[in-house]
Amino acid sequence: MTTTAEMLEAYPRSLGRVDVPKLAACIEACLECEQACSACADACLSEKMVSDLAKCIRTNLDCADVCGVTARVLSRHTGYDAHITRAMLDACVQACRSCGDQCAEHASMHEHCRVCAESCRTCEQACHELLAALG
Amino acid sequence: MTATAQMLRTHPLDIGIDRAKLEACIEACLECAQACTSCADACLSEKMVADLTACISTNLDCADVCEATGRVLTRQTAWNAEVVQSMLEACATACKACGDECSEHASMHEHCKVCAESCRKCEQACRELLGAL
Repeated sequence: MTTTAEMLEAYPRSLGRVDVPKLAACIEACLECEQACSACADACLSEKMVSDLAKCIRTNLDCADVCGVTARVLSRHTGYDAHITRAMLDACVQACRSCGDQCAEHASMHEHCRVCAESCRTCEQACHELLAALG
Repeated sequence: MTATAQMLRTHPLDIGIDRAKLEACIEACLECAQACTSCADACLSEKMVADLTACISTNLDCADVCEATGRVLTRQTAWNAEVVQSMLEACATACKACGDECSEHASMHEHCKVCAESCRKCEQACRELLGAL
């Protein structure tokens, strides 16, 4: 069992009717994507063609920030507010889509962009699934 | 002139967004993130902390969302309207929730009163910037 799943299981109050495996998958996808985007921005900065990668770097930084916040918001259940959760999942879908599209454009040239694009797609999908499960 | 204003003015790109509203929104986000972080901490030190758990959790969410929104708005290169708009909407939502929650304890806890004001101001700044985009 992952730490995320263990922490969800150890929460002292009821988690409500949330789909716990989908919640855990989404938190983990957000954290993985945050890391991938941070690493991709840094890798882009070290590419010789860095001047062509400005858009990718900015999109990476946004996506890393948004995914990080989304994972933290999803990790809090006390005083749960569905409006904040939904708004952040929507923002995370947008950020992951933009970053995934951007990185996919350089995927054949830069392996870090290929890996990052995959991570963005996985996270976008996990956010969509959790949004659907929230109803 | 604030550092926020100076940094925006010295950026090589002008993305054609209402600069005064952008500056005001970035500053409101950063101020609100600080107020919410501080309010969560103050709540933790109140004797009645057990009654403030929802407030603490909402404070932490709002602090995180405001901080990220401040960073996204700070980046001018390859401005992405969809990401910016969705973060501004998330920020307005978090500020509304946190402002409402803190208002409930405003008469009892001065930190909640100050935090609620900061949340209202940030929510308003986000909505004004959304309207200007």
